[in-house]
Amino acid sequence: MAFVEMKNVYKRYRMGEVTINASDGIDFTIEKGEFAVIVGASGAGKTTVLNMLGGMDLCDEGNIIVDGNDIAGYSKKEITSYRRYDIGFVFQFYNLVQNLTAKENVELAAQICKNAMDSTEVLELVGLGDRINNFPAQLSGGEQQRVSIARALAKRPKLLLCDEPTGALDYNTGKNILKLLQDTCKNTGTTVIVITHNLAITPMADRVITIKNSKVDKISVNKNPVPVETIEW
Amino acid sequence: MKNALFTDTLRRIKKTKGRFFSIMAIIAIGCGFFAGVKVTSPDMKNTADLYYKDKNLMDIRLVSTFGFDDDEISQIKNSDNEINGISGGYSADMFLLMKDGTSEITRVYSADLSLLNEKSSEYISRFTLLEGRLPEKPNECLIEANTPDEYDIGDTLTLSSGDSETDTSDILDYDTFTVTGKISWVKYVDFERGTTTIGNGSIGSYLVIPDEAFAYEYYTDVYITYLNTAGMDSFDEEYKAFIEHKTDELEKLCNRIHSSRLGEISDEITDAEKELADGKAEYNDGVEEYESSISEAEDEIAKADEEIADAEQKLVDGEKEYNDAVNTFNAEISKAQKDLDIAQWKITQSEKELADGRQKYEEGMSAYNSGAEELKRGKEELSAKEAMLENEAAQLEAAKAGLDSLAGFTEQMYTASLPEDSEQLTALVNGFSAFDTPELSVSETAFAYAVLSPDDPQKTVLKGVLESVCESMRVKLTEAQNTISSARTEISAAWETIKANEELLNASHAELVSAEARLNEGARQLESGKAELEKGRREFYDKKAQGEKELLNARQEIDDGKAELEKARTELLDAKEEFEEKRLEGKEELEKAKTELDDGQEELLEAREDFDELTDNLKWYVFDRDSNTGYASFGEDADRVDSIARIFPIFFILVAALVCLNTMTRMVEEQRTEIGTLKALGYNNFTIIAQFLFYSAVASIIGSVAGLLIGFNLFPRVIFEAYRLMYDYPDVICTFRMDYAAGCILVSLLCTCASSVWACIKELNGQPAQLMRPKPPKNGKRVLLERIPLIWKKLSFNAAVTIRNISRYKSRVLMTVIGIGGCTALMLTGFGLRNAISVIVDLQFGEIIKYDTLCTFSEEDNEKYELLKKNISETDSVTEYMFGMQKSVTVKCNGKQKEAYAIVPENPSEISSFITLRRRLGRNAEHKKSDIFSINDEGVIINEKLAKLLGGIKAGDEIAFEDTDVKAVVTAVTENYSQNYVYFTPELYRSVFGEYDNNIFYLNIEDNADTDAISKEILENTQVTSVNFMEHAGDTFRQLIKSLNAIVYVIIGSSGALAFVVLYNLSNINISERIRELATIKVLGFYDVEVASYVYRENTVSALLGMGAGLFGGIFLNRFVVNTAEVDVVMFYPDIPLSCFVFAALLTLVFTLSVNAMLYIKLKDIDMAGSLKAIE
Repeated sequence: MAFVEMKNVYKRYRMGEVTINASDGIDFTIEKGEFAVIVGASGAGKTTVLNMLGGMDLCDEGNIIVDGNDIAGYSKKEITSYRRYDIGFVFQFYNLVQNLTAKENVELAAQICKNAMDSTEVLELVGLGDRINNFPAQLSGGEQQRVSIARALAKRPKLLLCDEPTGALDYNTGKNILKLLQDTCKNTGTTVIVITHNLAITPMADRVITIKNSKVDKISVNKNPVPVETIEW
Repeated sequence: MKNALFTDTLRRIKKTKGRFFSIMAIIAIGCGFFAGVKVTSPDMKNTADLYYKDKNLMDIRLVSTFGFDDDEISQIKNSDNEINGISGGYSADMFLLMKDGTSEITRVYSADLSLLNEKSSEYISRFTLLEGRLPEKPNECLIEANTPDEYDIGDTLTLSSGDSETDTSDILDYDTFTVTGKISWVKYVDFERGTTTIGNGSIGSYLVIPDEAFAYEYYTDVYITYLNTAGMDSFDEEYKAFIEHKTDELEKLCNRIHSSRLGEISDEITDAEKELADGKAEYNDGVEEYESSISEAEDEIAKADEEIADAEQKLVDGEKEYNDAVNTFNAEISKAQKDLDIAQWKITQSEKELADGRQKYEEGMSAYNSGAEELKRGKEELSAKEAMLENEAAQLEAAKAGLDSLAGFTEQMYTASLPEDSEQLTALVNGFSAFDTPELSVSETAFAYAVLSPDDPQKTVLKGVLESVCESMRVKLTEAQNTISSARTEISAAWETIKANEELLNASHAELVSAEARLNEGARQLESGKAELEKGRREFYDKKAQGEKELLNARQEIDDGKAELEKARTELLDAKEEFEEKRLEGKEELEKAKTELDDGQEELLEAREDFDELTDNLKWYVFDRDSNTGYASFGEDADRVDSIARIFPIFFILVAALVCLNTMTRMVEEQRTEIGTLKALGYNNFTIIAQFLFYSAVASIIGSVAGLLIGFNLFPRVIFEAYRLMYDYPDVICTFRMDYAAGCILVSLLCTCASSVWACIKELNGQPAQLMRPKPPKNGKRVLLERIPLIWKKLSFNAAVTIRNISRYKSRVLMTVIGIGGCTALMLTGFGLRNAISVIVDLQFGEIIKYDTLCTFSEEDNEKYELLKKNISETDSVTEYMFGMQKSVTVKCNGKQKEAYAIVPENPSEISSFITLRRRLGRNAEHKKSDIFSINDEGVIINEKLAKLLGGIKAGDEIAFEDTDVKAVVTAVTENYSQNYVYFTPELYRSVFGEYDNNIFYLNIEDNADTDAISKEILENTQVTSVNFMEHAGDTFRQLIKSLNAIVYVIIGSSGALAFVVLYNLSNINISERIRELATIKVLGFYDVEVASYVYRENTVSALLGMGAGLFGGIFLNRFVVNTAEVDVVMFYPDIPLSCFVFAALLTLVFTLSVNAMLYIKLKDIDMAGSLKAIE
């Protein structure tokens, strides 16, 4: 059985009298330890999928099975616990707490976890060993994103969800971040799902899910994913 | 284009309605409270002013030391054409007999019945008839509606004069009145009825009677209203200045108005003085005449007296002569009588002696005869005895011969023997039988002996026996012989004696014979003596009779002389009596005349003195409305509300403005993208600003108008209603005051608009591109604390985060601290004020005043006073009692003066059982001995409030009093909350004020005693005028407390509301500002509770900071408010107890928590996905 499985998932928004289907019967699976990329144009419904998968949003219909549990039927409390223990998020705009240093931002996540990694260690892991006491404002975008990743990794999540992690970064920094994500996937065996509108990075993924008009357009499994360094866009 | 912008603005309002309403609410509360509290004082004054005008309240009350008559009143009116209405009236303080037997002091006013039904300008200070009808007859009256149930319409009440020197009939024509109606009167706007000089000095009520019922000749009061005051506000300075001016004018008028009446009196006095002088001259003439006639008569009487004295002397001499003669006569007579008596006695004596001699002779004769007889008999007896003795001697000789024969026989027979039948022998032996004795028959023995032969041995034995018999017989014989010889001697002696007796007898016989001859001679002599005595006696009687006759004649002569003298004397006495009568009559007449003259003079002097005093002291007392405690204190209360209004509402407005500023700034910041967009689209700055201005203006206008509408009506009503517990005013008139309204709206507009403009300008300075990018969140910074790793490292992660967040949003934290602090301070003040008021009832009536009953009495004389004392001490259930005096005094110090009660306990040492004098310590603190004061002669004890009112008097300071120049030292300042007191010892009071009379006594009664019974028993003492049980004394106090409680609740309620809104608003901003951060931690898997606590920690810390600041600041605010709210006769408890702090803190906490609870919902509903993608 697949590690992540979305079965016929619907998400609808009611705007006055019009109902918009943000997710219109999404179906896909992702295996454990895979580096998956979800691609699609703006407004295709990628983020909705990710939000539902990450427990930030609830689906209206269908099943979302993660590691054998159907989170679609979770209560609010259960869904929070799910986020807390199983999910790591990386956002386009990092969403670091400005008032906390890099280390503290990591600690913020770590302190609520049962089996968290050491904050300093995980920051060293993402290559920020010498910046741990800096505030986000004192860090560059790439560094902030590293902190963000460190914060997600510190929880030892089952699933690392990244929403356009390179969207706000320049080419090289973006590449470094993607490398970090790929390495994390490989080295720790964490299942990583990256949302991007950049088709160019699909070769580095184990599995590519293309979404179009709120539906899964195509799922392709990449037998031989390439290292990110080899990709150019 | 404009329309699109307008639509956008409206939409924004709709979208942010929470914020819009909270701005509105804050402005409404701020404006409402500010304006509401601010206008309360003007509304109160306005209501009062309209009431005064409606009831034509007097502007001036004029009292003259001389009274007024109608003529003078019209003169006053004519003197000033600004006078609108003027009327005279009477008033007097009298005792009103209550139904339970006590009497209460009531002030009786007159009313002109003819005016009562018209709205005449002369009808000043009109009544409001609440029940019943107006009086129609002179003996009907109106009572005040607030008189307790004691009297009702239709009842008859009895009035009596207030002091023993004045009769009720001097004041009133009637002493009973029928109640026809109940009124409330603009003259009394509070429930204080003032003080007086009678009784216990405290007036309990007023009543109104028709002016005909007064017996006074002149009006006691004149009431004046002015035309100009109709247009003035009674509480305004303009009015005060006007009245002051009029007061000065009136005071100058005094002498002129009274001049004619004074002139009349002066003339009268002069006339009387002239008359008196005439009378005096006449009197002096009369005295002279009288004196001369008296001396003449006296001379005559003296002459007569002399004559009588001469006659008397003569009579006395005659009497003396007569008495001498009588004495001489009597002496002679008695001497002669005595001589006669002696002679008689001598004769009697001689007769007696003769008789004695005769008797002695007779006796001697018979003694002689018997002696001769006895002698003869003695001779015979002795001869017989001699013969008997001779016989015995012969017998003895015979016995002796016998014995000799026996002895011889024995001797003889010893050698011989005789035959038995020999005769010799028988003869011999028979001779011996005389010696036989019963034991031994000598004869037989001798016989036997003789028979025996000589050689018979028996013979020797018998011989021995016979010999012993002989021997014993011989002894006996010798004895008898001796006896006989002595008898012979005796007999011869007797013969001698008889011979001597015979000779004596013969001699006495011879004497007797000679005595007889002497006796016969004596008898002859006696006979001749008797004859001589008889002759002398006859002579004596003749002489005596003659002397007596002579004396009687002399006596008669004297008595005649005496009778004559007596007659003369009686005549003189009558004459004297007559003279005395005439003299007294004359004297009396003169004295009467003199008294009349003196009285006249005295009266005249008095009249002159009175008149001089009158003219010297002739004065008008001009009282304005402020001299009535009610008007003045209402004005003060209104000002007090105003002074509270000066600080409280500003606080509200300040907090509201700060919050608005913060909110608007935040809003503009939130809208920066849009501002950027609009700017990029080419809108000018003004248009963009206008958009925000519109938003804030609408919010503030709606908010302030709503707030004003509520505030203008709510606050004056609530506060006035509270004050109406102490005052008798009609309902408050709430006016919508445009000035305040405009001010409030302007200020709130300014606050919100200025803050939005300021915030906009700050944003608009940037370039559109920059603006369109989201404003980077405020950067994190290290806080100072982090530089001390020792502490920082020890802090938990959460604590560290909280500290950093607080230091990051300093302005908001500050805002919260100010807002919450202010509200906490207000609440603390509210609770503190409430406590300050409420505890004083328990303190005052539980701890300070310990007596159960206070009675007043009017002392009549010492005897009755002692009786009263005795009766009181014997009253059932009375455990302790203390007499003393209570009197109103005016105390002066530091240029201030205040009314207070002087309390003078008769025995100052007993006061501790009735009134506690002690230093004020904390509530429930232990009072040491040094904290308890006792009164001594060194100085007075005053209460804390009085000390404060007079400029902070401390122990050792001196205070002065009105009406005396003697000052007193304050020895201690005592705890007391109600009324102002100065405690004296009787000696000290006397030395300060001169006189001292007890007029009250305090009682302590047994627990659960029947107060009605006690009251009744005490009132049986007619001097007692009132009995007050302290269990009711706290009631008025509780009223005051109720009225202030309302204000307190308004403050607490408003503060709470403000605290809530402020906290909610600020928290709201906090959340919206940090929505991304909160969404992030939510995404990280924080549970709702954890998310909430992440925010709450900051909230709570700033609320706690605010609370602390508020509790601290509240102490000062409370002090200010308590000082402001206090009235003169009340001291609030100045310390805030812990419970108030706790309450204020708890309430703040409750608001904080409920705001947190509301936020929780908001936090729970944060849309993570939406929040995080917001920037696009």
